[in-house]
Amino acid sequence: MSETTPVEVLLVEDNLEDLELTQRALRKANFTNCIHIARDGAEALEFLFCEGAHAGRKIEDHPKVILLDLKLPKLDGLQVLKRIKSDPRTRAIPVVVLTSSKEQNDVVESYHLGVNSYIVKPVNFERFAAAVRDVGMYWLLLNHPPLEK
Amino acid sequence: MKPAPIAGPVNSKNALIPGLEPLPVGGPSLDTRIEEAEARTERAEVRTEEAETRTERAEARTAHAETRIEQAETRSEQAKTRTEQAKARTEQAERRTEQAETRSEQAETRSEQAVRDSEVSYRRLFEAAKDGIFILDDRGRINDVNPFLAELLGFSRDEMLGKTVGELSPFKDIEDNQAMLERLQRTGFVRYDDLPLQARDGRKMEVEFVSNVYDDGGGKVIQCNIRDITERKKEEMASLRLAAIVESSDDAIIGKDLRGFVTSWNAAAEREFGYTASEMVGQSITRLIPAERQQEEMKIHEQVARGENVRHFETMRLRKDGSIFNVSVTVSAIKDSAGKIIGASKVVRDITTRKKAEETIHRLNAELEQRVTERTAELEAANKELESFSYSVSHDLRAPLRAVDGFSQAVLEDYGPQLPEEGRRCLQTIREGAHRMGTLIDDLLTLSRLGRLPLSKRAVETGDLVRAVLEDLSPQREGRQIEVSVGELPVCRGDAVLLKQVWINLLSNAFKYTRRREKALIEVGCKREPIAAEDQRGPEKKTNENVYFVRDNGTGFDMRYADKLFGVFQRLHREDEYEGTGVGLAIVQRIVHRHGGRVWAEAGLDRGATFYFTLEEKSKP
Repeated sequence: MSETTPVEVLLVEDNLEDLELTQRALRKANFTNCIHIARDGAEALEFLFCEGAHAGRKIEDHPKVILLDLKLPKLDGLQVLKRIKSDPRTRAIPVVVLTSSKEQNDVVESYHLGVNSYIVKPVNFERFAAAVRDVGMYWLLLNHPPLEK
Repeated sequence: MKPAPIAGPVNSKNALIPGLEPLPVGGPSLDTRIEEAEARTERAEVRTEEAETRTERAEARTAHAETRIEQAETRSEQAKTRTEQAKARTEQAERRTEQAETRSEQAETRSEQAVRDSEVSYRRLFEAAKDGIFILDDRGRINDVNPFLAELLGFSRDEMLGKTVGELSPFKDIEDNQAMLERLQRTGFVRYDDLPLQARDGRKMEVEFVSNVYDDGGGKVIQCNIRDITERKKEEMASLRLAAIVESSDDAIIGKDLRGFVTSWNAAAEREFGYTASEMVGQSITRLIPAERQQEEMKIHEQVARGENVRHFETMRLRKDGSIFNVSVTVSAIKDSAGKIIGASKVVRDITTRKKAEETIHRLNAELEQRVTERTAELEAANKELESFSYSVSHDLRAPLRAVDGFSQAVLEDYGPQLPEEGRRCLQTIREGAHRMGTLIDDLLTLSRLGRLPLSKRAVETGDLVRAVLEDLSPQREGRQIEVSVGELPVCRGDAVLLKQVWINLLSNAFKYTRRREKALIEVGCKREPIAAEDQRGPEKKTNENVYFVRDNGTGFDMRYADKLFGVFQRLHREDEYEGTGVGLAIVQRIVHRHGGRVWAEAGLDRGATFYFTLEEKSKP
């Protein structure tokens, strides 16, 4: 995947199986757009803020949507979310929390930090696939983001 | 004036008298003639001297007479003056006599007026007196009665006139009329200090009865004064009672004057402080106060002097034996009838025991607090552990399940056509297992959350709640013949979200276990039932409580296993008969218990089941 191809989806997921199932679900829903994968919070922020391995990227070329797991190594999902939503350059990027956690604390804290959607991954794959399809449909096709300068 | 000496030898002088020249010699004898001349001269001289003496005497007499005349004149003038004065005095005396007569007449006039006035004012006094007055004749018959007495006794004046006092019912019990009269005659005075009387209307009173005999000029008259002292007696009684209360009080009650000297000292004060009343009355109150508290007493004293009372002030006092004890002091100003502060009363309560009890309570509280803190810390640690456990269950246990299900599905999708029928069935079974475990995990998480989240209690319209739940569960009724009857459901107090879960679980069960009935009958209602004695908490005994129930005509269960019904993962049916995790009723029980209620069931095998639960009464604080 070349750095110049515009990334449409940033998928932040540490669990390989969930990662594969999410990709499978996106594929099933015919979202073959460019997906960038980050395996932990630090990697996600490096990509978004064009640091480290992604220093050559331009921050303006941000993804259309970020699918963010909460339980992540290094920096967890809530810390990543906080960083994204507190920086004016990234604040407008829609963030969808896609997690196993039904804990109220997580839900409340996510919304407090400005999450755009909070989705609990169902155990049942058919329902999981449907959820991923709906998220993609909404944020990639229906949603109208602000124009870039 | 003294007369001059009439005779005396003047021989030598004759020669010296001028003019008498010696006669010529030649007569009879010269010598004789000389002698004769000399004799004549001497005689003339004697006569002259005599004349002179007489003249002197006359002059003296004249002077004397003149003096007497002057004196007489003076006396005469004085007499004249005195006479005039006497005349003037007489005139004055006459005038004064006239004036005196006038005044005397006036005085007589005034005196007559005074007598008339005195009679009128006596009458007025008699009529208006706030004491009862009888006027009796010398035989003891009533001549006059004043209105106050008539009113007091309840008899009219006419009813009493002419009777003796003893003939009137209120006085019938006092000493015999005659005896009283005799005593009056003898002493001129009879007095009863405290005579019980009963008025005509039965009203009881006590009176002071004083009789006097006096002469009104025309004969003996007896005047009886009757004063109603009922109120005064009551006040005296009240005062005595108060004194008795003060004396019998368990608290030391001490009176002091404005200078801080003790004026009264009750029995409890003697007990508490060890001083007798005679030792303390007149002594300064400061001897009861430990040195380090004297300043404080000054402040209290000033406060009371300003008219501010001091209530339950806790301090220390000093006993006669030198020991110090804890007291609660209430100080009130004592005022005279004009409202002027004249001293203070102190009620001193020994609170040593209470202080000790308080200290014990404080110590126990502190210990308890400490234990609670420790226990809370332990519980908090346990809770934290539980939270992180459920968090990890939430995340870590579900992810592999999702993988199991997702990849089984992937195999079915990608390689399904290449698999034999049995292979596909096995994969399907794997997926179902994963789904069930997912449900189990969800239920367990719900159950654990129920124990941790705080209740948010408010009034809940149970009827509305049940109808909403039935609406939510309508998919479960599809394709089935289910008759649900909902009775009257009173408002309850509780956490609406949790109570909804109770109704969901109970109604879902009812639908599930009536699945094999051609026609399911489900009844939802509430009944009032007396509370079993052991369940009555607190002093306010509620006699009835609401018992909500869900009854079905389903499979029921064997009451022998009823105790297992509400246990986690406990099931009375096989999974292939009725699916489920065995957590639903455990959730119901936990919610009901957290509300302070009870839950139980009655059933028979294949004869349906009824689940009952109670919640705390709405009225309960």
